[in-house]
Amino acid sequence: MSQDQLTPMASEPILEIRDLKTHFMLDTGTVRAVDGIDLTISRGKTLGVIGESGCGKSVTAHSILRLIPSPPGQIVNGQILLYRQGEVIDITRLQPKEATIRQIRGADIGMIFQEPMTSFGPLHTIGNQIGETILTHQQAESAQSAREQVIELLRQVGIPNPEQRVDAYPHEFSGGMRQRAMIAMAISCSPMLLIADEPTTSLDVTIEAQILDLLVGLQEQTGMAIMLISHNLAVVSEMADDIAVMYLGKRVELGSADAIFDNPLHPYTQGLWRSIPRVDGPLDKLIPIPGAVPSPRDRPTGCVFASRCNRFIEGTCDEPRPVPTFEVEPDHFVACYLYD
Amino acid sequence: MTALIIRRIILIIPLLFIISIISFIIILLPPGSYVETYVENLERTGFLMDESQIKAIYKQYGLDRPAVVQYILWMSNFLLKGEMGRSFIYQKPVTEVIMERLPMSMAVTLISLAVTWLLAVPIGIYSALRQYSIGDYVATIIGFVGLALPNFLLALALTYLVFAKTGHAVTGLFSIEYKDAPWTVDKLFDLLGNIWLPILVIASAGTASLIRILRATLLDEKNKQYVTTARAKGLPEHKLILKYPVRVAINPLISTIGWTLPLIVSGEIIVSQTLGLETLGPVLLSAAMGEDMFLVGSIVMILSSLTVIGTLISDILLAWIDPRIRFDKVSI
Repeated sequence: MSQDQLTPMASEPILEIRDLKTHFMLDTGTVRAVDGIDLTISRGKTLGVIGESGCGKSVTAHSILRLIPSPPGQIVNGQILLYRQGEVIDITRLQPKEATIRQIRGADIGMIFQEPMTSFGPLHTIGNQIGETILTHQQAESAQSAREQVIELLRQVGIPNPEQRVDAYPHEFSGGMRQRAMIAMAISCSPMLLIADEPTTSLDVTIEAQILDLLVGLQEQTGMAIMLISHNLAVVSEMADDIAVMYLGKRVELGSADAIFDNPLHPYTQGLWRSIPRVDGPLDKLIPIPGAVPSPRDRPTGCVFASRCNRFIEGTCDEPRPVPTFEVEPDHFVACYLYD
Repeated sequence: MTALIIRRIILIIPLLFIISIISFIIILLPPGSYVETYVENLERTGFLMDESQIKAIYKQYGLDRPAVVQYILWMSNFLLKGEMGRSFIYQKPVTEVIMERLPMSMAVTLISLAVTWLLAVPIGIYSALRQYSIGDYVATIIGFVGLALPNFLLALALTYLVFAKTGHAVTGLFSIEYKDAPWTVDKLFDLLGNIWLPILVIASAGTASLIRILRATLLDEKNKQYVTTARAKGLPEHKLILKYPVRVAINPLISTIGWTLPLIVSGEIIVSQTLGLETLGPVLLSAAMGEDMFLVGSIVMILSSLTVIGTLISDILLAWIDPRIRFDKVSI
């Protein structure tokens, strides 16, 4: 996407998710993992998606590339619109194995995963597995030039001695190195969107900072958009332009990173902030959010957060209907009756 | 890699030595001996041997010396001249008895093995990828039947069916008129007309268990993160399945290749006996029953050695296809 870089078009969307519902039809009942999500990712921007485990962040990400195992998973509603080179593709309409989605995977949208330890197949070299992406999407490429590109990519993501390391096997890489190689693989075809699904969760803190720096640097160079999924508020607030807060398959709050950080509106978002230590604030006690995320099998019929909310309104929040979204300030949305 | 192989080969030498000692002990273990039985049989027919004649027989076979000397003689003959003693029953050198049967044994075993793999690998992959489909259930049922049905029973049933339907009796690898005939095109066709049945029978059990192993491993592997990664790269489904999870799932099968090597000698003794195949299995059986000590000992030693060598071959193959094993390092 080098031709587009550094063109600060205010908010040109490249991916739009509209009322996405991804459900899992299990023998024991339907799990509504994602239940009506709206998100927009703009060119060159970073969208942070935060929420506790099981809130549907990863399922949303996997839905975008149609990587949800089916059965049991199924996109039952909504659209995922990809804007590429003047055409609009609704990804939800594609067959998960057909050519169009395969072109999108790896070429238009790259993805990095949570577990760098198991993200590479154990029996092929790192160079082989990265080069494969290039060879898949750029037909004319010869194996030799793909290899040179891989070496260049490995250099770009900060792997020392890329000429030798290209022939190494995954088990010869440390976790941080594997995640760097994973990033090299995801950006190998210059995608316009990189989905980073908890990219640093299994890494230690110093490596985490390096990986995030790397992502920021690559974004500056290539102008790609990033969808950064994390349960770590610090990670997201540092990198993201916009932040979506998810809870139990719903997007409960959406706004610019500053707005979410300085003026969190949803009681859940406020609770999240109270539950992490702040370096700049007084050393108060940390207040965890009481209770746990209810099982998506028996979700509350009204507001999904009602059972844990400290500002629960009797007779309103437990009404069995979806909570409408209110725009409290420009571009700052919240799904909560407090702002009705 | 080379260092690994050399180290393993060096380790094998003392192991083979120990095996030869144990084989020899096995030879000496059973009470009585071929000579005693032989003398008894002669006496029963009224032919009385005196002590000196009996001693002469013992001496002829070297059986009058202490066990240690017998072992050293047996081993040194084997190492220096490639001889393994003399078979009492066949009245021939053991090596000759074995070499007569070895080619057919190898043919039956290796072809069965190839058939097993050619059937098991595609069916196993299909079964895992289409878990709980009709095809999977059919493969599973046939697999379990093949596994549960005793081979000799299947052999008898098939022999009967073929005879009842076509009038052709599959007894042995050759029809009677070709049994001792020199090799001709006709004899080859005769062999092909007979050999398919034992191969089918022997392959059925092996196929069933290989399908189960491959299916189980592949079911595990196909949902691993690296498969999703490969899918997220935009690879076509068939390509990524074959390149990543199938390659990993083949490993347990490779590690069983080595165990099939001893089967060349002992493979399916019961089936061979039932079908009258001229392979080594029935020789081992009759030699053991007739206390033909050098023949039994030699076959036991060959079997054990083939097991050891087969394991080495498996290990080398595994190291060759799996880089995690190659470097003697513990992978995370």
